[in-house]
Amino acid sequence: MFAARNTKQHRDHENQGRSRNAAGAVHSQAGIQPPAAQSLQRAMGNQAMQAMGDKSHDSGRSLPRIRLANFSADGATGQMNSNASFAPRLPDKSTNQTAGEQDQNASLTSFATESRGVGIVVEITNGTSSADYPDGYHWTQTIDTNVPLGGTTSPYVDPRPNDDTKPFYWTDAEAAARPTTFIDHPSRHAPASGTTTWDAVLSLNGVNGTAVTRLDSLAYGFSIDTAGTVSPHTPTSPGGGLVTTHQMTLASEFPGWTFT
Amino acid sequence: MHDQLKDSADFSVRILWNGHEDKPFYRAHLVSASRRDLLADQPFWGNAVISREEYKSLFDILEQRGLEIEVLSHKDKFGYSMELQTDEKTGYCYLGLTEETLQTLTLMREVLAPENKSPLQAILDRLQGIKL
Repeated sequence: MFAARNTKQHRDHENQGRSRNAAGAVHSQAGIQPPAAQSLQRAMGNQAMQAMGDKSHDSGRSLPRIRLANFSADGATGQMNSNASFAPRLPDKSTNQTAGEQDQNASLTSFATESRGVGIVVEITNGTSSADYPDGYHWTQTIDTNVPLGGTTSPYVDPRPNDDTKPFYWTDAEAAARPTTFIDHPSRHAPASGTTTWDAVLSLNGVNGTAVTRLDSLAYGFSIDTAGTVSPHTPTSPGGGLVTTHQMTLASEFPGWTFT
Repeated sequence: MHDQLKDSADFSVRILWNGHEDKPFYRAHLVSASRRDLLADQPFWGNAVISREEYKSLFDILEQRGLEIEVLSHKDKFGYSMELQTDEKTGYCYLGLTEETLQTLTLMREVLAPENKSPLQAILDRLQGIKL
């Protein structure tokens, strides 16, 4: 069972150890082999996306990807780009990398601070079906917060309690309605004392029966203080420890499924 | 105010959530045909254009269950609430998040036409499994 942690410190610690080859390190550390299709790149804004194009590192196979299109304004942590929109701060990447140097492949449509939390939209690109994953691509999200919901302790699988019997964020009906999109608007009220932190690891997975293969991940979140001030935790590539915890949390809550 | 709201042919009903969220809870927006343009396609919102009879039936449920319509909103109270709006009046009814809330929402779903049940059904689906 997982105990609650000091999320911010944990996250910062892992960020310190991040490298440009973080994705590879994740797989090595966790003993997880990336699927052949995984040469995903994490884009860093419109400019970077244009530079990346749709180049694939694989041999012509269409890859599922999470593509970063733009960010909403966030004066506290965002970085203004030449289009006068805000790009996320991704400390493990620079914006002038060439496509050949990219080692990740994740993206968002939007990320914005809201009145009591954040809003995030993430899109899958490069299709919604694959012979390797006959049950399609599905999102999983785990949450680490000091104000957990559903009578549970952190980390836990979102939603909690579950609204169906599967480990995925969307129910089958919701997924059918939004086959390529992840949307979340997590929120907490301002605490009476201290700071409430809420951090998530979101993964895009290929699914074959009860076998869930992680293809790409993103970490994001927020904190809110007693005055109600929301500080967004800008989306980043999660460190290996976060990914491992994400996978272990899923496996713990859904023992009939495999998560690799 | 109850009767003034109930007797209007031009109306909007919003079922709103206030509280902590991970995966968001669903909201609903039910309007008369005259207010069709107010409906917006937003994530975690269910929309429907309902008849005056369906609208009145929602009031009947509130009356049966002793739920009062008030002038002040319940935006600071945890759980679900209803916002009932006409050209002249806006009223609020606090539903909370209890077993009674689920019963009320279920009754409301039942009085809506089949094609209009989905907004309430989405709220109920999302709440399944919650221990109240």
